[in-house]
Amino acid sequence: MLATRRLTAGYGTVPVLFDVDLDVGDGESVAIVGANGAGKSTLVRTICGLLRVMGGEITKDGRAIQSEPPYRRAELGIAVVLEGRHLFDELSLESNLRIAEAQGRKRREARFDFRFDEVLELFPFMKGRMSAPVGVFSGGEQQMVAVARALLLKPELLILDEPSTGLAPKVVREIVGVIQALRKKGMSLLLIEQHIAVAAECSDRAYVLSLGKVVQQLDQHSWHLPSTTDALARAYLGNRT
Amino acid sequence: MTALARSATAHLWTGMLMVAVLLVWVALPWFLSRSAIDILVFTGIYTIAGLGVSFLLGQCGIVSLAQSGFYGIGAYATAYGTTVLGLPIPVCIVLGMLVSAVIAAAVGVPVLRLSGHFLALATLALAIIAHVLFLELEWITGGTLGIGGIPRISLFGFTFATPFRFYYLVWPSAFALLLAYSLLLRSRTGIALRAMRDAPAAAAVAGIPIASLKVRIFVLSAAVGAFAGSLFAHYVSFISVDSFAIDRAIGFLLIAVLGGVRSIPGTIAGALFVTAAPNYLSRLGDIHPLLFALALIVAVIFLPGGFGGFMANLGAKLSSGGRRPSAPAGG
Repeated sequence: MLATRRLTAGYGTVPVLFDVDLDVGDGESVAIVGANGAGKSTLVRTICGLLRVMGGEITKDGRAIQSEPPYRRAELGIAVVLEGRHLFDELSLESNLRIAEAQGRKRREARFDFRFDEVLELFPFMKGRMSAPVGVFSGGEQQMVAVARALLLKPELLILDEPSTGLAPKVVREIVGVIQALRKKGMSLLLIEQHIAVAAECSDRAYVLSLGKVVQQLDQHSWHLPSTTDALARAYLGNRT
Repeated sequence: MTALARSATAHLWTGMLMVAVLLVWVALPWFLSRSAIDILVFTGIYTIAGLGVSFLLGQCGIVSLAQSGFYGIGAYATAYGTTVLGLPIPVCIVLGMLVSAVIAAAVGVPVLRLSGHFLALATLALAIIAHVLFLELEWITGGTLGIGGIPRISLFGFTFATPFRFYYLVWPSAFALLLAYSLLLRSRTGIALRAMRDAPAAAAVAGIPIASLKVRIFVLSAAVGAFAGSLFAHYVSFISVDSFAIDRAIGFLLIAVLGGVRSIPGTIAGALFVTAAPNYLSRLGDIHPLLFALALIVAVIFLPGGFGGFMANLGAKLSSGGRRPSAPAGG
C-alpha cells in the first residue's frame, strides 16, 4: 500500500527525518509511536505532501508519489486527519463534508465507497446539525468531523495524526470504535498516537520513532505484549499509559 | 413572532430596501452636477477593477498590486484596437481581457507560489514592469503622448458620450459583476476558496488543487481589471501612461481594503471613497494628500472590517434588535 525508503524530510533546509523506511501493507494498521519532537507529525506531513521530500522515496502501490502535490495524493487514495483537526471553522458542517465528498467523487473505482449517508451513520451526532458552523462543535465532535471528511475522500489508506489528543476518555472510546470499524472493513491505516494503549489496541504492528529515525520495529507479537508497551511508555513517553 | 414570519419580514425589508436603492440609483444622475456624475462613473469603473483585487485578497489571501497593469492592458488593447486596427469595440474589449488573462496565467503560476510580503512585492514588481512597458512600447501605447480619439461606446444607435449616459453603462456592468462574484462565492468553488483560506493545509489534503485554484482566480481578476480599463479608455477617450502608474495599483488595493475584503458590495463604498475623497479634498488646496492620508488612517482604525464589514454589522444589529452578536461579514 504505502512505503517509504530512506525518506529524509524537514523544514526549510533543516532535516527532521532521517532515512526512514516504513511499510504499510494492504489492510494493515500500523502505528508510529515516539516522544514529542520525534518527527511523527513531520512524517505525516511529508507523506501527504505538505512538506517536500529532501531525499528518498515515497511509494503508493509501488508508484513513486513524492513529487505529486497534496491534492493528487488525495486522489490516489491517501487521506489524512491532521493533528489539531484543521477544520474549515467558518463553514457549516455540511460544507466541510461536501468539499471532501466532491473530491472523493473523482475516485471512481475506489475500494471503499463511503457515501454521505453511510458516513453520517458512523457519526450519529451529525444528524440535524448540518448547517451549524463546525467552529462551535466540541473537540471530540470536531475530531469526528475531521475523520468523516477524510473518509468521504474514499481513501485506501487513512492516516490519523494524534486522533485522541486532548479528548475525554469516553470520546477516545468512540474514536477507537470508529477505527476498529474501519479496520474490519479492511482499510489500511497509519496511526500516529502518543497514547500507547490506544495505539496498541488499534494497530497490528508499530514503528518507534526517535529523533527522526526508526529505532525499533515491533511485530504483531511483541507489540501486543504488555511488557513491551510498558517499556515503551517508560522509555519514550515518560508515562505508563 | 415565529422564526418563519420573522425571516419572511426580513426578506420583505431586504426586498424593499433593494427596490429603494435601485430607484435612487436610477434617479441619481438627474439631480447631480456633471462633475458629480463624473465621480460616480469613475466609482463604477474602479468598483469593477477593485472587485477583482478585493476577491483575491478576501477569499484567497492574495495581495495583488498588479491590477493597474491589467487595467492598463485592457485600456491599451481597446485604444490600439479601435484607433489603429479599426476593430469593433466589443472585439477589442474581449481581446484586452484575453491578453490580460493569458499574461495573468503565465505570471501567476510562478508568482502565486509566494505568500505574504514576498507575494505583495512580486505583484508590485509586476505593476512596475507593466508601467515601464506601457512607457517604452511606444508603437502600441504612444508612450507619454498616449492615444487619443478612442471612440465612444454605442449600443443600438445610442452613444454613451456624456457622463450622464456612461453612468447607465458602467453601473449595470458593475452590478452584474458584483452579482457574478457573489454567486461565485456561494458556488462550490467559493466554498473551496473559503476552506483554503480557513485551513490551507486541510484544504490541500482534502483534495483541493490549491495552486491551480489561486491561478484561476488571479486570471479572473485580471480579466475583470482589463474590462474596467477598457471602459475607462472609452469613457475618457484619451489615455496615457500616467493613468496606469503605481498610485493606481495602490488605489485599487485601497478600494479592496477600505471596502472590506470579505464584503463584495463593500467594494462600491471603497471605490467611492478612493474616487471622491481626493477630488473633494483637493479643493482645500495643497494640503489634500495629507488630509486623504488622515482620512485613510481614520477609516482603517475605526472600520477594521472596511465599510462592508461595518454595514454588515449594522445590518445584523438592526435585524436582530441588537440581541445577536455581530455576524461575520460573509460577502
